Amino acid sequence: MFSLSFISSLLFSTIRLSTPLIFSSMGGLITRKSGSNNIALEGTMLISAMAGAVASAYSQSLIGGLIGALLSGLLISVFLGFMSLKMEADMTLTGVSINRLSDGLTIFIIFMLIGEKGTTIKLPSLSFPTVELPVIKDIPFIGDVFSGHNLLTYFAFVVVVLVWFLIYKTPLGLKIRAVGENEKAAESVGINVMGIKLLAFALTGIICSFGGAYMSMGYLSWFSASMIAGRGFIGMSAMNLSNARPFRTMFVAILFAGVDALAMTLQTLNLPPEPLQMLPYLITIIALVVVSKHDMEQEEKRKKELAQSK
Amino acid sequence: MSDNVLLMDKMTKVYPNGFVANKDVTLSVNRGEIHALLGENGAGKTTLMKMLFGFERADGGRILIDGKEVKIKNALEAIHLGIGMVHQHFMLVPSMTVTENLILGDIPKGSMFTIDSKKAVETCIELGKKYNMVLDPNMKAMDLSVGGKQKLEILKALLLGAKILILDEPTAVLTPQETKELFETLKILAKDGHTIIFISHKLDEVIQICDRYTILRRGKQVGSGDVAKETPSSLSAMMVGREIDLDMHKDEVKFGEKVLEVKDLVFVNDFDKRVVNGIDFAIHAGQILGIAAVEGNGQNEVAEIITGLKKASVGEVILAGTSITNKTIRDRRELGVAYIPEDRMVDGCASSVSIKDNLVADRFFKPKFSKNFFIDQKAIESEADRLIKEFQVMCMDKGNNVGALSGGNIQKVIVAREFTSDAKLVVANQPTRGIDVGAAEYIRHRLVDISRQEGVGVLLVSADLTELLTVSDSLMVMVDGKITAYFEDASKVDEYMIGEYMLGVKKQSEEEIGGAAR
Amino acid sequence: MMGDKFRKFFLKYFEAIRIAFAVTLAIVAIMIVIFFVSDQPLDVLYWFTIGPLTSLRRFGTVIELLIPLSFCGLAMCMMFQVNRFNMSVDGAFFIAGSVTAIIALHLDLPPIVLPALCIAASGLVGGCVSFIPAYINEKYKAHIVVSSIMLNYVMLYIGRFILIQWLKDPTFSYNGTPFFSENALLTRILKGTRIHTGIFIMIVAIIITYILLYKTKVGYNMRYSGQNAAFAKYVGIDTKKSILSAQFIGGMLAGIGGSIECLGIYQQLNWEAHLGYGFDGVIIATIAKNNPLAVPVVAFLLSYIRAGGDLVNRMTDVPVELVTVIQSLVVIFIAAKALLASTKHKALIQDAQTKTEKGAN
Repeated sequence: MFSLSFISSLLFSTIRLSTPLIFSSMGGLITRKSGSNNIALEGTMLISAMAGAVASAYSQSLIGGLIGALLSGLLISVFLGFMSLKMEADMTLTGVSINRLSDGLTIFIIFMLIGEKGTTIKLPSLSFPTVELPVIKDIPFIGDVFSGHNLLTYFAFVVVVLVWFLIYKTPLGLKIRAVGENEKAAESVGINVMGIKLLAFALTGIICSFGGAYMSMGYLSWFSASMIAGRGFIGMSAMNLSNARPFRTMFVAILFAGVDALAMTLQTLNLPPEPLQMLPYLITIIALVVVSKHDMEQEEKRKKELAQSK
Repeated sequence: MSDNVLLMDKMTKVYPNGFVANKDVTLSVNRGEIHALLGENGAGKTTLMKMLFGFERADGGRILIDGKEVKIKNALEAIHLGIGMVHQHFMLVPSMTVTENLILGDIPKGSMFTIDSKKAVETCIELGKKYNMVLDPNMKAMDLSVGGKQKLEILKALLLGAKILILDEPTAVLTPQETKELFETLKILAKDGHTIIFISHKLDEVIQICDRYTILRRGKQVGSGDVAKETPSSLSAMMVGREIDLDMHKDEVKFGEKVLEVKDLVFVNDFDKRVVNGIDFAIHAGQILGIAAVEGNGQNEVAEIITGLKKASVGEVILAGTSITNKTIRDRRELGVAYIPEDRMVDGCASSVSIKDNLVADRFFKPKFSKNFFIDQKAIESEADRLIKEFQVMCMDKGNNVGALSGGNIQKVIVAREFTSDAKLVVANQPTRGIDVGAAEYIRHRLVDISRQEGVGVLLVSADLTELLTVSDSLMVMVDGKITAYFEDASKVDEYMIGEYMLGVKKQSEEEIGGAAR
Repeated sequence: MMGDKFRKFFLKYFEAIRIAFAVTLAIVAIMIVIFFVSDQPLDVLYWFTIGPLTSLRRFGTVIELLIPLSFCGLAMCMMFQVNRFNMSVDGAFFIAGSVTAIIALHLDLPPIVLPALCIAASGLVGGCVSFIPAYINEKYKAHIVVSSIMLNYVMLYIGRFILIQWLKDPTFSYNGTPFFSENALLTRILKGTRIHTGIFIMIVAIIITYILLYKTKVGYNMRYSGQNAAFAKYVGIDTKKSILSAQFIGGMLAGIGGSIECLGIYQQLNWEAHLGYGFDGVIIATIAKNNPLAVPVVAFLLSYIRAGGDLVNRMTDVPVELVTVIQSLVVIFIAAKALLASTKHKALIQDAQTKTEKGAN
């Protein structure tokens, strides 16, 4: 059972399943760096998944679908930013409401369009192509794991580098970090704090939308009502657990995807599916506890030592 | 030369809670001068400057720069007009380097959307050399000394092209050497054509360095002119307005038993600094012990450790013979600790809870106010009525939220609760900060009364030196988390003496300091 | 600008006016959309507003829904009273169905005793569910929104496992347990509707929750801790204990609600997904300002809107999700403190000015 091909297919689906997690965690990372706590990643992805599937079906163009996804995700994310920052609504409450709004709005829209609530299977939506990597695809094992993924999967890894570059190497990134760490300091040198924070929400919206687009135009080739299934939250946890460092976040996201992949692979073995389906969520909670506990103990230990050393 | 560079004409600012911070204040500053903006705590200096820097919106008045009327809506506009501000609390991003902090307002761009970090470092070094303020460009801002942080702030303003530089109480946190260095820098800057607004309440410094002055008192402008024509006492008279009659009648008392002993106390804060660094002292029944210290020298932490809000890293706190080091806050209160906290809106009250519930927050669970599981509303109401009357809290209805009261009345609510809890020790941290004169006087008198009549030990922490000297029986000075002086009899000390110890110019011998623990 | 009298009225009832404004804003926004996308916009308007009143059965659905919504609203009140965004109400409500089904299907007890046992056990389990994210939040500062929502998924799959792998009656074409015995059920009290005795338990729960929060020492501890934790700590309250127990009670209320819903309405267990009342609880608690006495009023409004939405769904070309959209927007608008704030600020300044003028004279 644990043959080489089993392992390579497990790793392959790990990478495949890490795609939405990487997008959502990278999206969440940017708002977190700007000092906001965006818990509407889930809803943002859901809306953009729907918009992507619908737009690609009606425009019959991949670009059209992508634009639909990105625009809708951008809008909903900026809406959250605007309501919580400008209109001073509680960010958590607004975020939770946006997630709920997305549940309703996506179904509302597809029902108005095609008269069905569950999925858009009826619609001739397009999907992003899979890519065979030249040379690598011919290497045994390696090729099986790394080649043949969806275009957006490869792009997810590019986004990690882009986000890292943006945050640590560009003027905008410097401003985002300054705003996130000391708003007053940023304001005192004339940085438009509100503008930067809203811009962070916009960027988050766009990055998450790629994740949504992947779900409905890559992972599947249609939209279904609860297809994000907590991936926004898991991505957010990956980011929080790695203290918003881009590459660490990516590795944690891949780990979470690995658990998911394992659960999915084991389901083919005629075991009851529910405990396995539960696994990714349970692991997320356990990881949250373990890492938070570890961080706290380290902190306390460090302080004790400092106090004792005279 | 009377080349007017800045005129703030009849500025008015009313805060949402109705507090009038500035009323028709006029400030006129000439080019190239060092202009002192004087006033006591809460006189409205900071508010006036915040309006100039675009942090607060004015409710009335106009601002003229170089004779042209301007509207300043945010910091960016202020910066474009050539105004720079060095805030009292530094505006730095702690985890970023000196260079990153410096260039934040004007980031040099390299190729491919990147930051030109080489140019940034060069700018940092050049600017530092030009104004004689050299800093390590790669050091993290949080690792800089206080003086270093201030230099960085000044450089930041200069890099953004500040012609008018506002310094908000710049010397409050500096050592004497650093102060001297700062003054050198300011003179260079003034000679270079910069205009400096120097906010302070240290009159000797003003006389030493400033050309002209403007004085605020309780939100109004009460005088301005050439510093050369004034003396510290004439300036002080204008600042205070009347001789403050803090001469309090204090009965002589013989101190009783020790109510508080603090032994070898250490506290390490979140930034890994040993803010309290091994101190020992004691308070006796009927004694008021004052702590004099420049903001941030560990005095708050001492108050919070005694009352249980913070946990000591090392050391012991003993209340009337019982160690309370590891006791909960409720146990400490039951044993007789009361606390007037520094920040009344955070710790002292729950602003969205009614006045009466705030008054009984420390005792509603006691048998007097509850039967078994249930609260006895009637008992609570009569207790609230009693306290409101006794402590002269001005309110329409005891059911209203405490947040709707004025600062002075909120403080009275807190004092009413803390002074009636049968305490053996009252810790009063800035008990009169930012409240009206009447309420402040009232609270000071109650503080003396409670020590004299009930034999309570009092630990008084205050930034108001006059208050500290008149109310305290004994005084100790803290610098960098250590006690540097102790005076058994506070009436034998004056502000200048205390000032020297507070600023670290002088330090007592170990033996003299040891008197605090006796 | 504003008349003296109107200004006074405006300031006094500001919160109520703001809420009304937010609700109107959300409904009007959606109705405008409906007018563009629906072929029968007037029908939508009719069924949405008057629909639930057109027959006893239809009005019955409003009351039936009122019961679970009130329980979830009460549960969220407990969470919000201690200022914690514990979203585990959905999970607690859902798992209560499994607990109830296990007991109802396996124990042969007399009436009243059997449902009482089901409800009590569900309450206990619900409390434990909500306690998990609460505890790891207090103890290790783990993000409570994330952990509670993850926990809801865990509960979902545990519940599904119990249903599908264990209790399911294979003769049904869907995933459902056998119907419960007569002894287990909550009696229906109004012919032609499914309104059941659970409504009395609901009323008792509302009163008890109110007394607990506002009339007992425990409640005082909780409310001080929620309003200002720093202050509560400073007056010596064990804030951790208060915050944890409030959330445990919140979960209990959700569990009780879930059990009652299962015994009163469904009479079997066939829940394969969350019923989604947790978010309704958020809305109810937000509008009710966390006061249990206001919960049934708000819950009634919500279930009326939901019943209207169901009718719209059946009678027109617009789906029931319309309601979800309206609800979410209402919460966001109500949460927006800046909404109407400038108007209030102006009124306040005018008020202050007239007062000082009077004072000066």
